[in-house]
Amino acid sequence: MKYTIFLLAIFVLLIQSGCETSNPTTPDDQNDQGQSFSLVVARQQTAWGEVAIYAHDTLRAGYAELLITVKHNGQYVQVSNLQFEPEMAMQGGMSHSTPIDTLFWDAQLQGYQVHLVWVMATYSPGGDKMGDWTVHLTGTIGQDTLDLTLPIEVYYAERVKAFISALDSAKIIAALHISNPEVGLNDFDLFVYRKVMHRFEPVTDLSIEIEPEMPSMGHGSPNNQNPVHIRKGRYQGKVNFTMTGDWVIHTAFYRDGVHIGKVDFPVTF
Amino acid sequence: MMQKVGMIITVFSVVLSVTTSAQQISIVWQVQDVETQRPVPGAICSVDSIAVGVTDSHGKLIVRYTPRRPQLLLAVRKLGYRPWQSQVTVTGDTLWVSVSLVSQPLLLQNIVISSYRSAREQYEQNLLRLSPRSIDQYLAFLPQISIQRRAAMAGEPLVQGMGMKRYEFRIADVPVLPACTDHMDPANTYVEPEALQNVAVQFAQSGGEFAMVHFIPDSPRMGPKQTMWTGQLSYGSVNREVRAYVRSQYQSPTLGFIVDGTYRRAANYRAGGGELIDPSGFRKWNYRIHGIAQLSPQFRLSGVFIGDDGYDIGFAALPMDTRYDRLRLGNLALQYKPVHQTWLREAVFQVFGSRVDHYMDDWKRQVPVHMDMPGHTRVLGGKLTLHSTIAGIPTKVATEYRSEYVHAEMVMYAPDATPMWMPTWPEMSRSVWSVVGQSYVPIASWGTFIPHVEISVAQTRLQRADEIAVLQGLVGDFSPERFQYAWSGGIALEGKILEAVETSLQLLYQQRLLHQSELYGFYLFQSQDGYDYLGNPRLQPEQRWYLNAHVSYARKNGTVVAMIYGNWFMQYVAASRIDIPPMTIGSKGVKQYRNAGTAWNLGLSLAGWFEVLSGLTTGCILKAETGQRSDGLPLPAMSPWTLRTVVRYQPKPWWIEVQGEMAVANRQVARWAGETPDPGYMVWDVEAGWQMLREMYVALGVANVFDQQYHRFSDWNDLPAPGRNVYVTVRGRVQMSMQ
Ligand SMILES: [Cu+2]
Repeated sequence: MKYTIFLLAIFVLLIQSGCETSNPTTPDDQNDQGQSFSLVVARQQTAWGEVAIYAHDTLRAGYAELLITVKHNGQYVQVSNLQFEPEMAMQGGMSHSTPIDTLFWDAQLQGYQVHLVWVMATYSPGGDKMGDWTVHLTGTIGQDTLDLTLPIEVYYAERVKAFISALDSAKIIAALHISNPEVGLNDFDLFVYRKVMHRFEPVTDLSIEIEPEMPSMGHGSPNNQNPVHIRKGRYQGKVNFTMTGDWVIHTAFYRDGVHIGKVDFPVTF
Repeated sequence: MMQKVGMIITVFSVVLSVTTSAQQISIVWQVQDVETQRPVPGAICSVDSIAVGVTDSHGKLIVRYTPRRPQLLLAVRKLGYRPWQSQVTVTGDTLWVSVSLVSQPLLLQNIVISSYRSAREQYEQNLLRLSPRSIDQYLAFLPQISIQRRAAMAGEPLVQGMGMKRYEFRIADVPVLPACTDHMDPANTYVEPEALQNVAVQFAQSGGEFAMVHFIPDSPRMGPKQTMWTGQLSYGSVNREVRAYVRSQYQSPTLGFIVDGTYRRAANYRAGGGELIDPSGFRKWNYRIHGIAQLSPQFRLSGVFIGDDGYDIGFAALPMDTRYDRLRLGNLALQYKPVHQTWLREAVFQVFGSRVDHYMDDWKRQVPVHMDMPGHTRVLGGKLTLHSTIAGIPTKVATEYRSEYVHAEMVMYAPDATPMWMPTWPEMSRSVWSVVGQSYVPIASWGTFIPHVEISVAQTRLQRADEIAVLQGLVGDFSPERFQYAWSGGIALEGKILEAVETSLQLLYQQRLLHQSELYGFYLFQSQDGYDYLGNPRLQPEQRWYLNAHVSYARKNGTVVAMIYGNWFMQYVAASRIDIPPMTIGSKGVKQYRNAGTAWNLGLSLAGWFEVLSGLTTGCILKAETGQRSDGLPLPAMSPWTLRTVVRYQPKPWWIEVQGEMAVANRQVARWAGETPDPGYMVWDVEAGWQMLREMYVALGVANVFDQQYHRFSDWNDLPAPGRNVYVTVRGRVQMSMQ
């Protein structure tokens, strides 16, 4: 019957339009573990093989994870007495290193993982060259010697901040790391080092208070957890982002109850 | 009012063949309203004081009956009508009983569980029949409803002070989930009075909620071949509203169709005293295709599709406006009625769906940070209803499954900043399955006892990991899946205690499924109290005991109805302040939904209808409500003493009508919910008209004649109501019979 078909058709149309739900796009929820060392940031041939440095992504000032592979006669090998020495030769002639959080052999990836904090970038935000980063690798592989200097480019990011301690006028470097910021509670690491000559030493005895704010809206968020010291200048806490957009994490540093300084980290996602 | 109170109109039995005694006969009942000639569903028919069934949606009932004597006492009862009874002699094997019931204009809605005779229907007959101006105007006349205005269009009905989180909306039996976190789209937005048969307000069988507000569109009819065209045009001066309605209706013996549509367009309105309420204009389309077909003597198919598209709807009382709001709704029903009476009188299978897409933004406003807030809801489901007579007791059993989807989010745009996103209702799906049973047990010739029970189970699941994370960041860990159940049960008793005195009593226990705002709402800014509202996934279901009683006294020239209702809420859900920073600019803080102990409320109404002289009738309704939480705080949305009155003089074909609405100052103010005291007011409307034929007339009226600046106690942020409105309505009809 025509009208039956007609009514059915109306209904089917309705249902079909009712079923067309949008496919939600979730933000990239990969974490460090899920990321691969897919980007070669430095590579050099040697008489016996090849040394390469990989990263997850373009290197930026702040925390980074590197993978160093050493290929010796076609085999990925470990290196005896491996030394990994990053150095920044600044335009003015000064030079300094950068703090290394950890270095270990990753049997699965057949290479060394280095977790470190780039305290500054090769270029300023305006694009001016600040200096040159190099990584100096030494060690031995059987009878062969490893002694290489590899150039590295580090791009600008507002993830590292410095202040002068109100207590002892030491220069303190703080680096914020949130692996993949998203709405909700985010784990974060805060690396704090003191500059001693051209090196950086972990600062392990601070109490740190954070307060996230969304400046364009003038609001903060509840349920944040101030970072506490884990090891070697690495502090861990939780920050709560109630929405996406431009956030600033106000970070205040105290030693023995005395306020020694504060910095603001912008976070946008 | 040409109402003939106390009159019983017609009964006739038709002899078809010669009687054989002690043989089964068929009794065919056809019950309609004497005035509107519309079928009366749900009327209880009895033979020799034994109820034999209830009329269906077409006012029809067929029963097989074995008479023990040639004289039968037939009776039809239906609340809201004068009971009818008559002694008839059986003279054939089929007894045709056509009953026209006379309405008893109780200003009373749905005392009886699932009784579909609502006060709106009575008002349409009595007060507003000729010039329906808006759905909200009807709703505001109902004893247990107040309207919360946020703009010119679609106020939120407050049912016994309960906002729409606590009750369910249906249109044409299809659940409609509002998609706006700010209550800009109660379902009365999607209904135009021209296409409406009535509004049923049910306090039982309400889909797992405390109540159901059901908008029932008028249905196409089958009959001699006929095509009808109706057109109506209105204009109102207060907001320069133009309203056009076109309807085409077709009927044949086996087929009926209505295709109709309304277009409305309005500018900002002027409040009493001259203030321009900016923004409050809107544009909207509403359209419907409604069909019915008799497939065979047993099977009938009906289908309805309703669409509604609103654009640029200003909400002066809120910080945002609606850019668009769209409804699509459909219901396809297959009805089976056995030709010969068995235990099964009727079975109806329905599949239905609805979707609402709402988009609110604030681009008309001067604000530092602009926002967009889209929201979407979907419902898809099916329902099976069985009407049976078991051991002489009419019983209804229904089961329904529906799958729901809800999502709303917000994007904010601050100058020179990355757009900011957050969910407001995290994407949620919910499956609800419910079963309802109800019987009509006659108590001698005195009345009817109506027990009912309903069980709903719901599985709720949040869908998106990021939205779960952001909510967990605020309220702590919770399971994104939640199983809820809600059961309700109750009894109703209705009957006649004296010749002119009718009474009813309804007692109910109910649990309700919690609303997504209460469970998962994320920083929903409430501009009345200025707080951001946060859901609470650990909330316990709210429950209530509900008691409703009415007594009516009817004399020849008038009726008086007194009604009282009371609620005792347990695990009462209310928001209270928590100490976390707010999000919305200008927000005073954050509140979170909590179970706040117990609460009670009480409502009273007294309504009357009198025919003073022939052609001169007057009606009025007086109502008031009060309520308190166990901690002593007053309940919000409780109506102060409010009186509505109408006087109508109708020396046909002319009529003139005066309506008044007045309220005392409102001093029971729930400050914790953002309420403020409201002054009393008095507003008068007049209307005159000339009716040529039943559906052809011209009406000219002035609403708020004295241009009073006023607002009702319930109006959002004390939004002033429209000022003096001069309006005109012209309606005409063309009818073609084809045979
Ligand atoms: Cu909205």
